Amino acid sequence: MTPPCQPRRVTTWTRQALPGLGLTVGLGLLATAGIESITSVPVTPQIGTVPAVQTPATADLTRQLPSRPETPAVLGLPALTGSIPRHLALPSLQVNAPIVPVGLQPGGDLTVPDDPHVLGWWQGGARPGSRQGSVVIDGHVDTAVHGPGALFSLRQVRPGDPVVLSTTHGSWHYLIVALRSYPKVTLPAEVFTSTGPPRLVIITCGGAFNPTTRQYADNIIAYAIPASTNLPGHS
Amino acid sequence: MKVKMAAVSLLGSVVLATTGAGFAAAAQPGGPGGGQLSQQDQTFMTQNAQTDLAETTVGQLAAQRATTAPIRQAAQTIASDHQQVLSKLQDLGRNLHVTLPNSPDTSQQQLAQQLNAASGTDFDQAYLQAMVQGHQTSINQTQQEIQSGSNPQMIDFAKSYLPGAQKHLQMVQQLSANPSASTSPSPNANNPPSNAGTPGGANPPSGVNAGSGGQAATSQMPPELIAALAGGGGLLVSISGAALLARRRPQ
Repeated sequence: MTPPCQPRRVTTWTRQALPGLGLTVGLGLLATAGIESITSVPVTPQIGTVPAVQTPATADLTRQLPSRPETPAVLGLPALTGSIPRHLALPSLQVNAPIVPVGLQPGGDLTVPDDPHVLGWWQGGARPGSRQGSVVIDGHVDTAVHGPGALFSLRQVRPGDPVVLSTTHGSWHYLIVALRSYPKVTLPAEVFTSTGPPRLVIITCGGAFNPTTRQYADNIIAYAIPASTNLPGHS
Repeated sequence: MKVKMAAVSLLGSVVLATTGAGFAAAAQPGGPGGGQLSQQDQTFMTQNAQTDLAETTVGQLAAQRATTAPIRQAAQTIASDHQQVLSKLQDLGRNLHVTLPNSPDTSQQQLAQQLNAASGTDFDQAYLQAMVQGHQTSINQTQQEIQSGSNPQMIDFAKSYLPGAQKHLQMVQQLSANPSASTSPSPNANNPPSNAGTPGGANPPSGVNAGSGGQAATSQMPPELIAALAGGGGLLVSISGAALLARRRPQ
């Protein structure tokens, strides 16, 4: 049998606790609203200096880069055998991902491997070891099916972080020098340049997310330059 | 082995085809009646002749060795076109009293040797990559001649060469994206791709769509902001709790 005073006790407790509870819920909602508004105005990383496409100074640097005997980079032509990238390691972000060659889709967009844990290397760009142009690597930040991808934390990369691109005939070492965010609609064509000093460009998505189109508004791009440890035979 | 020997022989035949005298001599200014040739004109003549020789050589090799019919067909077209271009350039050279190189440059010969050592799909990829970058370079050189050349005949030559080179580039880029796709090579097409002004002369990707999950958007709040929000929320919760306690004590 229920004690006769119990309903009264509950009512009193409810009356006393309700204002505080309401206040707490209100604060929670306020905080949630704050989060919502922040995600719709994403933080844009602009860190470091993007390697110049072509300047006399960087042209001098290009000439100083070591070449590998088995993959000689030639004037305006690619290094060939063994220089197709197969794997990327970015230890500071704990990224270790295989790479597959990708091309352009019919609409002109760069293909991104469906599996977010696999990265793509643009075949129309430079190869590791080439003395000019961008080696372009892309990968999903996340997908609706698989969740976070290999480049989920790319926006946290910082200048000086090492990157290693492994090929069938050795490894190429790079150092991150810059991080940028560009609206997709104004992605600069020079990101994909085939001229100028050699560099590595790692691309994923970021910024505001549109749940209707399931697309991000921006591209997050990390730039890296060849490290001095690229000695012949080094791996 | 037979193919390798054929390729080496092919390279040798190209080297010796014109004057039979080993490595190239750089283009020289024309004599009487040769017109005004600037350094830019001469440089371009040399570059273009060497490109034609190289593209012909490796194109004929790829026409034999590529693993897919579309690549073999494209390679044959490229080789044939550059052979015709070289013939036209040689006529111009004779008119302008200019001695053209009779072999590809050293790097292009290295390229031919590397291709000769490759096989299977590695060869396909290497050949297409070489064609993409080689044509990008050649297009840049041609645009430079059109902009900065002095001799009207050479500028006209460059203008007539450019659409074909752009078409070749488009063709090999398509094949790079899909090696089995058939292309419709038409070097004399009047609708060259509108990529002349892009860096390197290539068609860069128009975009990169690399995310559909949305998780990254909610993780983009900076840590200091998260801490501030958490702290502010906690402070207010504490105040509300304190107020409740204060109301209950008098009872």
